[in-house]
Amino acid sequence: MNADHAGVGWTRALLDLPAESGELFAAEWETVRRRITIVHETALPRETEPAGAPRLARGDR
Amino acid sequence: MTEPYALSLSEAAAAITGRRLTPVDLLDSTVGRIREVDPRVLAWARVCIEDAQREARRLTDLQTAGTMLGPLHGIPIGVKDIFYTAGVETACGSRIMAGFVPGYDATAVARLRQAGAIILGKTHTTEFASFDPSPARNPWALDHTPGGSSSGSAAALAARMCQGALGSQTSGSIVRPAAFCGIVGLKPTFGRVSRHGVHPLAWTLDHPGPMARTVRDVAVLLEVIAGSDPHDPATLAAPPVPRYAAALESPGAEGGALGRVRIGVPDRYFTDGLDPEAARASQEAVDTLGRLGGRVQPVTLPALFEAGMEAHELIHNVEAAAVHIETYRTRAADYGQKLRAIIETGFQVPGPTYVRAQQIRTRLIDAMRTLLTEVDVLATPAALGPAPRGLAATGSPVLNRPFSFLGFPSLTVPCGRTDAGLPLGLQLAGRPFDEITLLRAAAAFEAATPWARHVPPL
Repeated sequence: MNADHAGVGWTRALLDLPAESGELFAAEWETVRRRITIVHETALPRETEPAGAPRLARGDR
Repeated sequence: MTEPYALSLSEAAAAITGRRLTPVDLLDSTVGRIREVDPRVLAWARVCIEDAQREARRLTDLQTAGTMLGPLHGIPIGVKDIFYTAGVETACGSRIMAGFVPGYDATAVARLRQAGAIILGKTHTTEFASFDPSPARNPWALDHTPGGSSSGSAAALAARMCQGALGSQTSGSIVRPAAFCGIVGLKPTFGRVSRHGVHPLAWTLDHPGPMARTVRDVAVLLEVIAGSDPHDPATLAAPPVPRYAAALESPGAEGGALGRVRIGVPDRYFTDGLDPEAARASQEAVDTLGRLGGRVQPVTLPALFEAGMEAHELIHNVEAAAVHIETYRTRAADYGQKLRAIIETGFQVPGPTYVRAQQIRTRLIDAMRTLLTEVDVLATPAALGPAPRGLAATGSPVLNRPFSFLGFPSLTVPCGRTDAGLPLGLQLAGRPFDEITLLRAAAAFEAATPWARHVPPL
């Protein structure tokens, strides 16, 4: 990950994250990056509703 | 004569109900046991002896007067230190929460008290129920991890320092430590037990649940803590709570414990990286289920299964980052390295990726519902092997993670020991809100095997 990328830097500033945020844990980030790739390469019907959506008729908020 | 502390929850409850044992005597015995072994096991973050003694005297007076508050009257319970306890520090195994004293009980804790339980104290958790370990040790081998994150609850039960305990699971935090410590742990269906007052690790993955030394004890605890709670919307659509313990006592009324149960053995994933001794014990356990009348058959996991496990980890990291963002801004250095890595990487996962991970979850839930029309129960090893040596890590949750991701119920029951004497567990998982089938199968297995009666050599 390029922690100095403008978008990442802007996000860090917006969330007021610690200055060193995103610069640590390179090995873990490699694992996460692989996972992100797998999730996006997995074929899914576009209409799939994400889990966790409210089901108001059954009493959820 | 068996010391009171060594009784199972059900045995102690029956003795109290029959007036052969008082809550005061049970507590005194239990506190003595804690003083004897906890300096070596380190299962407890804090023991509330004076509060517990005061409550034991009150419950003994009620017992004398013929008034029993409920099925847990006078039973000492350990509570994982991420459950809020009114007036008692809830530090979540962290520097961040040190000194925090909640003003109210978590719903599960409140329900335990209403049923007559004595909240004996708070058991050690990994930091915020994540992966940075607590001081707790495995009673079967003190230089081995008890697993995590419900480390102290599992260790305290195995070491006979309480009759029941609360744990929570986001990936494998009930089933894994229970398996490593040779006890029974049940992760209920998502929405079966309220999360209210339980410090979140990842909201859509967190499951509070019971831990104990026998299947029946877990059933008793589940019946007490389960049910609808207006403070936790996930519980509101759940079906009514069955009488779990009674169902174990009259299995014939609904078709026999294992006579009609179809046991599915997954074709893959649950054998990847499996220790040979765990593999052998798991196969023998499945064979036992077959001899008990279960119809064992192989099942093919959905093609989406492995992608679902990657999605689980992304959801976990993003939600943990969201939980901790406020305190992380100013106190990053007070977090352990393992949780820091989760939070930091969680910050960087794109929003659409998180949503897509939840879409994969929807699809995998649907596919697994279909699979569980072919069989009633999935049987797998509860962990990749016995508790690993060392205290710097808590072992892998990969075999438990699928059921946290799905929200389907799962449990572990002891199924063997390694040549070195460490416990191994059999994991059973099933359909949403069908904990009874799992409990019945586990109870039949437990009754047919010696493993649950083994005691660590402390």
